[in-house]
Amino acid sequence: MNRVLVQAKKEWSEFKRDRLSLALAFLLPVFSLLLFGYGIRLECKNIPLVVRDFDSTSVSREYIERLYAANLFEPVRWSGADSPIDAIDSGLAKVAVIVPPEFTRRLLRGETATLPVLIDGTDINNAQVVYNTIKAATARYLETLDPFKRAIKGVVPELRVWFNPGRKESLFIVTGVIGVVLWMYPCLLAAVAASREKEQETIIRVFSSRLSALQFLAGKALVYFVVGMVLAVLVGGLSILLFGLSPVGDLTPLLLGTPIYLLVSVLFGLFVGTYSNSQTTAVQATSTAGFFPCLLLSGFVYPISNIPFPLSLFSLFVPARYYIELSRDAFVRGAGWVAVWQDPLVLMIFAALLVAVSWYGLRNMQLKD
Amino acid sequence: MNRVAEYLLSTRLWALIVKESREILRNKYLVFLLLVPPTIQLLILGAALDPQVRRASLGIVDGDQGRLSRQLSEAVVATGLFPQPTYFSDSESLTRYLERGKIKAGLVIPPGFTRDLDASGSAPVQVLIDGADAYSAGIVSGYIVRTVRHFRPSAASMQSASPIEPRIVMLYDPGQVSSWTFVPGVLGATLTLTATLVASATLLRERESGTMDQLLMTPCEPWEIVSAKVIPLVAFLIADISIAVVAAHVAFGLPFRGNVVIFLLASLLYVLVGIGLGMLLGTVCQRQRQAQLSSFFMNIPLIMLSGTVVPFDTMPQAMQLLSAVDPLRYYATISRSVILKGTGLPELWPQMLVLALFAVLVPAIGVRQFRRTLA
Repeated sequence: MNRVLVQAKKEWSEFKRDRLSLALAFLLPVFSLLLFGYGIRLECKNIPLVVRDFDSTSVSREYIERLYAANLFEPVRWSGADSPIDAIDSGLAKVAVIVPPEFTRRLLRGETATLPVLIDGTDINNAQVVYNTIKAATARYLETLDPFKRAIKGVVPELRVWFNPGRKESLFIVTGVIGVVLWMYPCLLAAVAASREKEQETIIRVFSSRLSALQFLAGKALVYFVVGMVLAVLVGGLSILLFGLSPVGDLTPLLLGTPIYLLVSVLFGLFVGTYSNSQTTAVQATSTAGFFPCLLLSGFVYPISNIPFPLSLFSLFVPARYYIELSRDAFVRGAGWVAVWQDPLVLMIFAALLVAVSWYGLRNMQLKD
Repeated sequence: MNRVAEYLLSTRLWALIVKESREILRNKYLVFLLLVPPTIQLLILGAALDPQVRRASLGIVDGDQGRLSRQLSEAVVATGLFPQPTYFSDSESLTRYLERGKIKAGLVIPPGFTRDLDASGSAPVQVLIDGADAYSAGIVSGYIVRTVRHFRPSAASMQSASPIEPRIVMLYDPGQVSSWTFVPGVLGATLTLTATLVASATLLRERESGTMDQLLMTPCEPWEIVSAKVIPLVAFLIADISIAVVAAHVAFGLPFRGNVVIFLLASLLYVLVGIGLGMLLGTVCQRQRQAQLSSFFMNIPLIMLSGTVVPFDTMPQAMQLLSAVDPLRYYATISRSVILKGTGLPELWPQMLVLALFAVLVPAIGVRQFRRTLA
């Protein structure tokens, strides 16, 4: 135990000496939290819409007002001469609604009035919302138009939104960012530290000392684990202060899960570090193997259920996925242990596996010397 | 013609270019870095980035078990959003599943639903939504509420079609394949990562191994040294882009609707920007590791603000303004418009102009810094 502490002390003084690593350790996570936390939102409120009203009657104008009443669209000025497709081509508008000349007359005659709607399909985030909104607004308009035929109220849905009644997106995004940030940076720091020893070939000295592979790993892990815990407090505190997160239920799953998660992150970094020959490769490897999957396959922004089959198996091995579930439970759902009991367990399995693999890697090298 | 070629091949610049290309090809790590991550990242990103709600888990409690309640749950399932609904016997167990995050939405039909609807033409149902994921929750509740509200017992729904029929056309991406939207932008993002890393690595390697001084002792001019470093990289990265576009075409059926020349021109400009950024990093930092770590500071905001991975329109105003100095934003716009919309220079010249400006300024600053470190 004493040896572990000495090893940790040595690592700490090396870490402290490298100004860049120090700055990186504390500035980058906060910077990422702010950038992602403020910058990522999926729900759009003012989608630019172009309307060409060839009919120009009070009926068509009322219908168009209905569309705007959905609080989704923002009118765009568009000169009457050009085709509305040009507005979408040039990116000025995302949606174009064309009211044909016979619109009112057909409606009054009881025929079906068709209404061309063009949506910019490349705006994949909003296309679905726009589609639904136009359908819903049309239906609402028809209800107000014809009170006699549609006197039956039909089925009345009573909508209840659980956990996040105001549907605040920041709750969802920021709880995810916490998971991403606490994964990326402890792991990166540990990878750089482990590979530095190899690059500068001081690892030979470690091997020739009486320090065992496990003690060596534990000493290094301890330092970055502590750094990670400080980060966790920092990032958690900032999220509560700046983004209005507040604990809603039993916090013990998160409090227990955080140290395990940080341990997994640090161990993954050490693992990559011990297997790569230079610090450059270590950084590159952690960012390709850790950073991208963590951003994309963890359900941080886009739902996991959308990931197609072979890739979806891959997402089972992304630890961030389990930790994000924990942080969302603590700050949004509040269901407690019954809902997330398996997540700390899975994280523990990851930790055990990583200890085994990196210990194995180091032990082999020691034998060779 | 032959003479011109002979002359070009005998210049110092050509000799340097050959030297640099050989060095890149010899360094397995660099070749790997140049070819593999961009294509792999592009394919993974293209497959995994999908903001649309395509599947959601729904729980149904049918307390009525009548003719109309069955029709209603069938109508909700027919939206296609809920491929495998789970049926519960009572609303308590449904709520428990919802609380634990096992289902995203619940539909509770009370006893006497069929009777009430038949008798009075109106009956309530409960719709429960897991709001933790605010964006998906909005879409899911939209689907269910709309279907429920429009539900008419089948006899009544036989009546004529709806008086207003919105004919909705999805332009450019009719099947709503999300990779089509993401690939053209992500192409730029992976290019940024690769270009900056490789460019800073080639510069710093020479300095770390001390061969830079040897190069300077030769009669070569600094501009020749720099362009000999840049030209092979440009060629490699342009080849990279072409491979990626073809790979995306094979994997996702991505169409290429616009002019290839305009696309390649924009890519060339953007590659120059990326290499310039890498050179800047290389001159500011003393060691390769520092350059790699600092590249996080530069690349994360560059990619984040460009709207290639997360949507641009929903960013706060300040960040949108800040993105005016993000060259990737212009490249992403051009690449998306050319590949998907088939637009040409008449619409895209402003973006092209800005990109060209970046392509001149950034490498110029990089070269100036580089020469300063030489002096």
